[in-house]
Amino acid sequence: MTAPLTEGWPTSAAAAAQVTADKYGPPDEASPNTLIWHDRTPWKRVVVSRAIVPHRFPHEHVDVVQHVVEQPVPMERLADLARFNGSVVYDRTRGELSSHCEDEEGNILALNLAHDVVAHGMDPDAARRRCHEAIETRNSENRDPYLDALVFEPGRGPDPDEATIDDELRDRLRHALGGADRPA
Amino acid sequence: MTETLDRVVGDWPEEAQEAARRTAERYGPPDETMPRRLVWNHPLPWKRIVVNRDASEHHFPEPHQDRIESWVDLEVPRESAADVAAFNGSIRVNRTRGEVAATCHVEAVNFLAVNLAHDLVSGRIGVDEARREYTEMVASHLMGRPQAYTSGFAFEPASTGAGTADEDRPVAPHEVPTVSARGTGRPA
Repeated sequence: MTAPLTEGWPTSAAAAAQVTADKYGPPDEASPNTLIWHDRTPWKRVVVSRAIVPHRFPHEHVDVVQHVVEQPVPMERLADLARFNGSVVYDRTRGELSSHCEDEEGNILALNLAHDVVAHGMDPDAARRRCHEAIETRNSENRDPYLDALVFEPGRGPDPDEATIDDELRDRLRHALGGADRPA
Repeated sequence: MTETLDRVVGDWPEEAQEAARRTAERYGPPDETMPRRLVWNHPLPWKRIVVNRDASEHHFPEPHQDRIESWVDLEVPRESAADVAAFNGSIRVNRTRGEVAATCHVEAVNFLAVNLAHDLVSGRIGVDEARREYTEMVASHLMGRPQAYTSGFAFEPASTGAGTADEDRPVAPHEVPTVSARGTGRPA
């Protein structure tokens, strides 16, 4: 289905595109380097890129597909989130949490553990160990359920922050700069 | 704008069309066009610029809509990631890729955000100072006073990539789309 869109892509990227299309239908947006699916529950967005990225955690692989959920992360948990996994990215303004891995189950696992870290205070090192162990169960009878589905309900959490430019600052700067405002 | 670009963004909100037009005027037509986003690859000195149809509301340092994502190679150690997010929620850190993106409504403020993020990571300033300097420099910019930090990078971006692949072991630069570097970027 996606073959014409991924011509010339690395095999891993083209395969990820095909798997995603098999599950979610044709992409909503396509360019020579990127395919995007919007609003495929539970995902806000799924992105497959031609640019593959080597990643050694939890094992050697290439990051090729990104799954995005809306999920707020408390500021005080960001440091532990960063310690957990460098391919889990938080966009504070949009309230989006994403994981970039070799396939969807890798991203489900990473996001479930990220949620444990930020919402339940799981130690990041423990989360990394669980990630290693869970991946090893992929093809076993004792498959870790964290690979199969999100164990939390995504929720909206954009954080627009607060305005810090006020009239007092404008007056002070205008005085310091010695003139009236000029157009930006 | 070119006829093609006009057609792509014709039904976009006016502010999004304006962001696309300004970026195209500076860097030429986009390399990738999609219904909701335009992408410029290697618009020097940036690694990538994405203009989004859909905005997110951002109030720091004053209410505006984030639409223009500007990406650069910058290594952010894991112990600094939370400080960067506390400084400015519109900065995203992808540690594995070694990339940082600042998103705002004007490119100049993205330069400022990345420059101050670099200062934060390198230890020159703390979070509170970064927010204060950002506030004052954005206000000055809006009053028509361009500054070095809003005109280009105040540091040398990693020329060979900053990807860590985890465990802080650098790897060879990852494969990027085979689009030749543009020479149209205005000197920083």
